[in-house]
Amino acid sequence: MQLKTHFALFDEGSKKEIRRAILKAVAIPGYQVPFASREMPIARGWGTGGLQLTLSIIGKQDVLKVIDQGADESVNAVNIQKLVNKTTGVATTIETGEATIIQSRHRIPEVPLTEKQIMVLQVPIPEPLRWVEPSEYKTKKLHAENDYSGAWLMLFEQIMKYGKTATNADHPVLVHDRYVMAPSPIPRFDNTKMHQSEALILLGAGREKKVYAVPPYTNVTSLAFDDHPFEVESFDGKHCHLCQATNVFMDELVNQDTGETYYQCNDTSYCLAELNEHEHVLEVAVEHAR
Amino acid sequence: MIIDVVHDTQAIFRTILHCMSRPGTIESIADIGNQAESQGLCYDSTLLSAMTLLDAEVSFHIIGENVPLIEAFLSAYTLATVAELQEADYVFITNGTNKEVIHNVFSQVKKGTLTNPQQSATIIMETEKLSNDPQLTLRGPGIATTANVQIAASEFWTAKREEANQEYPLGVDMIIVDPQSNMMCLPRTTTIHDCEVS
Repeated sequence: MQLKTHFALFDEGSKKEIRRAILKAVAIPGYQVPFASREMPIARGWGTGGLQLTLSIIGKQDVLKVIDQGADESVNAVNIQKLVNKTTGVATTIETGEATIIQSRHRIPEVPLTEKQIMVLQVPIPEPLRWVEPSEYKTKKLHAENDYSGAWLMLFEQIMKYGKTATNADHPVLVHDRYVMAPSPIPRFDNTKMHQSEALILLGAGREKKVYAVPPYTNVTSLAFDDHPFEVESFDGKHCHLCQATNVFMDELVNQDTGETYYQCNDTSYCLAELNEHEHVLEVAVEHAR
Repeated sequence: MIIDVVHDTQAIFRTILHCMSRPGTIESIADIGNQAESQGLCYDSTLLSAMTLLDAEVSFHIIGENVPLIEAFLSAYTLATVAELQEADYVFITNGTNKEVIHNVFSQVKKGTLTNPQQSATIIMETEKLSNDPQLTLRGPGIATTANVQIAASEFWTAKREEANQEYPLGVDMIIVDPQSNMMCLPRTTTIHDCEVS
């Protein structure tokens, strides 16, 4: 028996409820709007928040790109992409520039986003104060009272212990000078891409039932002290071993045989585009040589 | 009324989302659901916005003329319930409503609480004309530098809106529509000033 699912899987009532939450999230940048997170055909913690946002906003004209830790080909990304494609029929792509909706886990693409695009980020833990306060009732109150001493204390303790802030990902940010927000576990390298972004950024946490947003052209500041300024991961003097790119976020890899360390672009579609471009240049050079 | 409840409401939602995240941007929904018949009770765009946002989980309140007719119409199509102004999630202000009544709306509507600022009303307001002529200057999130807009009869409510939004994150968000089905949004974060004379 072949069952035909409703467009974008959700019933219209579910979409409406999520859409209303998204509009509130945009109107109150960085504030976590509660929503009735639906059961999804993937496990909670596997990107249900992002998936619910994508399914609620997507239309027939959209082009979807899904990435997981920078890769378009990982199991999670491919399956989410397939699920959305099968239930909506929308086109999918790996080219960042072609996509109108980009759902991502843990990265913002290297190619700058545009006004035509919506970035959807999957969030495991949306509460930046969760590490210092386990009670949701209390963290909601702390947000209401604009009391973020817990987040500052966490960074201060890291400086005391390690001499620097030791957040490897999910470094808290202050949005529109009011709400401290977890930018989802993106590397610090990507925090700066949220500031005055041209694209709308939506963040969804399915298990924690929260939706929040960073509208375009909004101030997003990473928390830091005057004497310990915010620093992003440095790749000085490093380059991608495939496409030779510099100034991008790279994975550190180790050759098992020689023990040698080498680097590779984390954003696979960027790396591929760079490689294709170089190949093109190479062909032209051969043409001239003849 | 012929409207595709799946794809038309999706397209209208994306227009509202685009406008809400970029205050001052005016987008038209004239091509969407052009069979909508609001029967002259309100603008087509008002009806389409209601169809997109309302369902049985939320409440609304109508301000203006023909209130019982519009109430019956919207409840029938969306299953949303009618509520008092102080309780309503969505407040519709039809064109031609006088200044005192609009003032009262901005004083009375829900503005959320500090723990739950999302529990505030969204005002859907009809105006004669929307354009990007320099009458008002907008600033805030979603706007790169400044945006200029002209909203007919905005002098009726800009000061009252500012009062309603003075204790951020509390406040009201607005969707403004005109008879040509143009749409513009003003989230609570947007500040409005008169354009300086050029």
